[in-house]
Amino acid sequence: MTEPTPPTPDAPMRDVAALRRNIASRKRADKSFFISGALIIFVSLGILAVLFGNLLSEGWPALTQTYYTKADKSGFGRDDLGGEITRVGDGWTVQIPLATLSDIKDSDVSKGLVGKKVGIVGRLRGGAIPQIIVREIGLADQIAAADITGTLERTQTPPAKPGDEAEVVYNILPGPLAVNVDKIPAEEKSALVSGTPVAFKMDDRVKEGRFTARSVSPLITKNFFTSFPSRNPGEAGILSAWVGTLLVMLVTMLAAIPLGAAAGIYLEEYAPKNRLTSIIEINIANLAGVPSIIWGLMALGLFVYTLALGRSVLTAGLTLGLLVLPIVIIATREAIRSIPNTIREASIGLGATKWQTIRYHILPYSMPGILTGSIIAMSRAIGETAPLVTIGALTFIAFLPRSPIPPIQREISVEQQSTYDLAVAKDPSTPPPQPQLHFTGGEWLTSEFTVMPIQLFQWVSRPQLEFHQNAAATGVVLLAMTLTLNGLAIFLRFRLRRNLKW
Amino acid sequence: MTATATPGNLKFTATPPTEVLGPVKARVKDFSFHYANGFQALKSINLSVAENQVTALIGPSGCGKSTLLRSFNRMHDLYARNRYHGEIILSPENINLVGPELDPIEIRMRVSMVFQKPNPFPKSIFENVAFGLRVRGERNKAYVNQRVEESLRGAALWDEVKDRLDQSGLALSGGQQQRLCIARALATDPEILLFDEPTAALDPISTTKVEDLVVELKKTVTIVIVTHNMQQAARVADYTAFMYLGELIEFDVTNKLFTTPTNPMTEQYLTGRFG
Amino acid sequence: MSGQRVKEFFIEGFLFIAGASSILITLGIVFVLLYETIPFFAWQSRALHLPEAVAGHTTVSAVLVRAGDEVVQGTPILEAAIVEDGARKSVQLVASQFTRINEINVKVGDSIARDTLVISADERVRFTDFFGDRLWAPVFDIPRFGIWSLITGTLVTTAVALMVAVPAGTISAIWLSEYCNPALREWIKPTLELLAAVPTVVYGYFALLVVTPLLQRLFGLVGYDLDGFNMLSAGLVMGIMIIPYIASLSEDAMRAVPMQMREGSYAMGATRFQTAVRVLIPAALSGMTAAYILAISRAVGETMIVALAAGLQSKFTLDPTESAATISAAIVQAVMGDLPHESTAYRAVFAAGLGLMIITLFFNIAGHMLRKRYREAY
Repeated sequence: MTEPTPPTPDAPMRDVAALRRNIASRKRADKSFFISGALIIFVSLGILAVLFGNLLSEGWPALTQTYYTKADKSGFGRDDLGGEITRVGDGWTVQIPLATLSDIKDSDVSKGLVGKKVGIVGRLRGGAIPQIIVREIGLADQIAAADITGTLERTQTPPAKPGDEAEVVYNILPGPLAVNVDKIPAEEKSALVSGTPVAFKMDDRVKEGRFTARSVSPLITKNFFTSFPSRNPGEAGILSAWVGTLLVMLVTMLAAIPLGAAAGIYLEEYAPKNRLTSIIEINIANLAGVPSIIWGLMALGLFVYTLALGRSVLTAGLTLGLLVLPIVIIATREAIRSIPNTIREASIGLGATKWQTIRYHILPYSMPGILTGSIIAMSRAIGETAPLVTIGALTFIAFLPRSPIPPIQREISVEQQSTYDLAVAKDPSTPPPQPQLHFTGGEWLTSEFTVMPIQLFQWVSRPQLEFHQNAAATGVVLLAMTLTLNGLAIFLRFRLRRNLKW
Repeated sequence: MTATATPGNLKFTATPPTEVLGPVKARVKDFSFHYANGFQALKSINLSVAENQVTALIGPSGCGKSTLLRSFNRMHDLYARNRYHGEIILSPENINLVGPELDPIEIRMRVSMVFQKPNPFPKSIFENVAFGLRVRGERNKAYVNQRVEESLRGAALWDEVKDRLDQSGLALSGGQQQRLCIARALATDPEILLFDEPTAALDPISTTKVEDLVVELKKTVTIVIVTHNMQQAARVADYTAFMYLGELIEFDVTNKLFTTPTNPMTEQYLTGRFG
Repeated sequence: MSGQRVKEFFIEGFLFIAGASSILITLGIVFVLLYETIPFFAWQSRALHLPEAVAGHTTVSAVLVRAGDEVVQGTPILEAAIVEDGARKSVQLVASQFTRINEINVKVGDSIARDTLVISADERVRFTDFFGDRLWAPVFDIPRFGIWSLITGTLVTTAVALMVAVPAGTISAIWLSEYCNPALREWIKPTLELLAAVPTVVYGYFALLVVTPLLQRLFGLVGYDLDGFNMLSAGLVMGIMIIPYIASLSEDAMRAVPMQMREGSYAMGATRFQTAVRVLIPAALSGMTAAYILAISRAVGETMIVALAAGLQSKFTLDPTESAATISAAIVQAVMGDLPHESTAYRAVFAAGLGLMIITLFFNIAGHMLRKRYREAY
């Protein structure tokens, strides 16, 4: 112990001003880093928003367009030109009961056309359902080249009450309109069947004497979710895709969750600390990093060919189940590891066996964690495309697998009907089509299928812009599903962390 | 951080602090501290730190001695919503160390700290010592070399490491690591050097070396040391403050505090009846 | 009690099987890949149809003529001509470089239609064809199996992706770990991780139909005509996708650095930026390297983005503005065409897959080891 010694003279005075200048310059660097970091995070999150926004704006028409939904007796909305196409000798005519162009103002049509013969230059295409694109009301010299011709007529009904505006209606007279058969592509002629309804939708470019049909899909209540994919982008939907996704996910869940949970339980509760266990552990970590396309190759070699399961729902479900298995295993292990040993000891101490301890304590307590992991796994599986492309799921599927759930009353689809029409034209004894969505046992497992990411992939690969719209719409649905599942998992994890206090 | 119960037979009153002899480097005035969770760790502390002397803070766990020490260089600012009240005035400019207007970085450049557990950076020995100069943007190689050597000599480590300055600081033994941390703190020529139980994780021989170093260093720097070990305070400190439950119970010349404590609680603690 | 014990035994057995299933799965993958790859490189007997007419009651002998790199038509027999040598007629065959035709004699009777004349030949892909060629085109008439063109494609897209993701991911990680307040981080981190949860086919859409047109407009400003399929756009979008991998894993690694290390740096008067760059990055280096490596592995194996946006035709190029297929895209391209089972092209897909598997496995093991090391370090 020492008495305090008298202090030495003051240390030299520090140059505090220089110090502060130094700090200021360093803090500027710090601040610019802070800003750039915040910017990068903001931009990254912004990209997510842009991605979603872009998909939504691109896909919105496809998601919401429901042409001809308010079908009147003739099967068409009254805004449309519509009728039945009929074979007359070598030519075709479109029987249009009354071609009414309503909602068109006087100022939209050049007066010179009234009373004159107008032509509609169009194109017939599409297989089962012909699509006629009404390009133009031609002027007199163009009528010869027109596919469909008629006379434009204007009628004005006097107002019912004084003060009301007069109602102006344009008609194209007379129906039936002739269809120039040469304009129909040869390969599509065979698909045109008498009685097939066709329709025209007018757009807002009447003023230029030009009509563009957006879509011609009569009698179909066009709804993205209840329509099958089609060669006609306007009426293509994702019915078979989302049903396929649900069925494949069902198999994936049944394969991955029990197996993954069991593996996790084994590794945490039973596995001895030996070489085999550590190999299994490294192996699981590596499996989690195997590219998804490799899983597809494995499935192609093993499930499709060696086990002869075909390109079925079962193959797809098992493939994705194995693909996400490591996610479930890792989540299960983490959930179990967070349970303190005291719980196990308490249970064993009361005379419970190991399995009873797991069954009554470990499993229930780790369930939220396993659930969260499984949801994440499902969200990953829902978006997987490459493995399914590899097993050969990249096919046009316009039917539903036999449903594993009780039957829902369904109508015969238009696709079915037109296929039938074609067949019956050749062979009158063809049996009529059956309504779909049957209820049977395991038949759906071996059915061919398509899923949403595949449908998206197919549509993106098509050159037509209308298909890109459908792709975007599918992307919206897919992304919404993935983000919802992830959001759910985040929420569960938050709640778990808040409620869990060992 | 739960405090032990007040020993029943003791009056829980603080003795007015003794004023130090000679110049004061830092003066703690009515200083209180709240942690983010609302816990008040320090209650109206008044204390003077004598220039170029060693001031020890002792007391049982949770008494707030480390909290007080870490207030000197604003380490609490690293964690959100910790609150300071009162002042710690640094001489000679009379600036308030805990004042919000003062940049904690400036304070930390002037008031350096050595921690309980040696925490060398995952860098070479040389770079560990040069760290403070590097963050200041010092580019003069000769100067950096010179400061590193001086600091390592100051920390009595030079002879042991001069041939392997490029080895990782983590490769040193615990005692060497702690002296490396001291050298690191010395390299920037701080005005006050804070020691937070610097020997808690060390073996007795290393402890002795560090203690000798502390006594040696006070020639050039003002030292505040937190220690759990009363003998250590007695060995190295000129002044000692005894704290209990966030209050300063007694502050005096070490010799006096250990031999003739004024406050009965101090006596109880020194005789090992609680703590 | 004994019934309980039997039950316990069976349950444990079942759980063990589940636990070991991962090994079975791995073996399954390796087996399938090898099962198709080995015959890909081995001699295979196969029936060949002569493209040329052989008429008359005569004995023909097929003689192998190796053509080297000069190829004319058809595969595996590129040319077949009847050579008369006195009374003997023989069919001279010119084979593609992958084919070895055994010398054979075939009796052709009048009654045999000429197109049923079948000669069997052996066929294989040599390692030199696999590693020496610069074009991958397994379904061409004259198939080419140059894996390097796929490796360059993979390399370029991965490099572009890393150029985006490594800086962005690292800065995000530092920002999240050192600058962001913890309550905000609890929200930002999972949201950022959503970037990795977006289905890759959606990213493919984004790359092809949003980013590429944007880039085309940008390149147009400087008078460069960017291909509709290009590796740049695919790489950029892939980079965005792997930002969260790097950010999240690096942030974990940085937060695993003990607080006292940070305090030591702050106590020296370092700023947050200096602490991050000078102390935390060196301390978290193995964890961060693991993050980069796992991100590389992810980028190398990524399929849908590159298949959609970078094109499906292989090309030996290092120019990111060009279109080229990666290994994974080449697999997609091949399987989309519905390959005949057990054909050489079908096997080529598995050989490419094995290559991809080996590359990613290497990165995965390295990343796993590094992660384990940083976990042990603190």
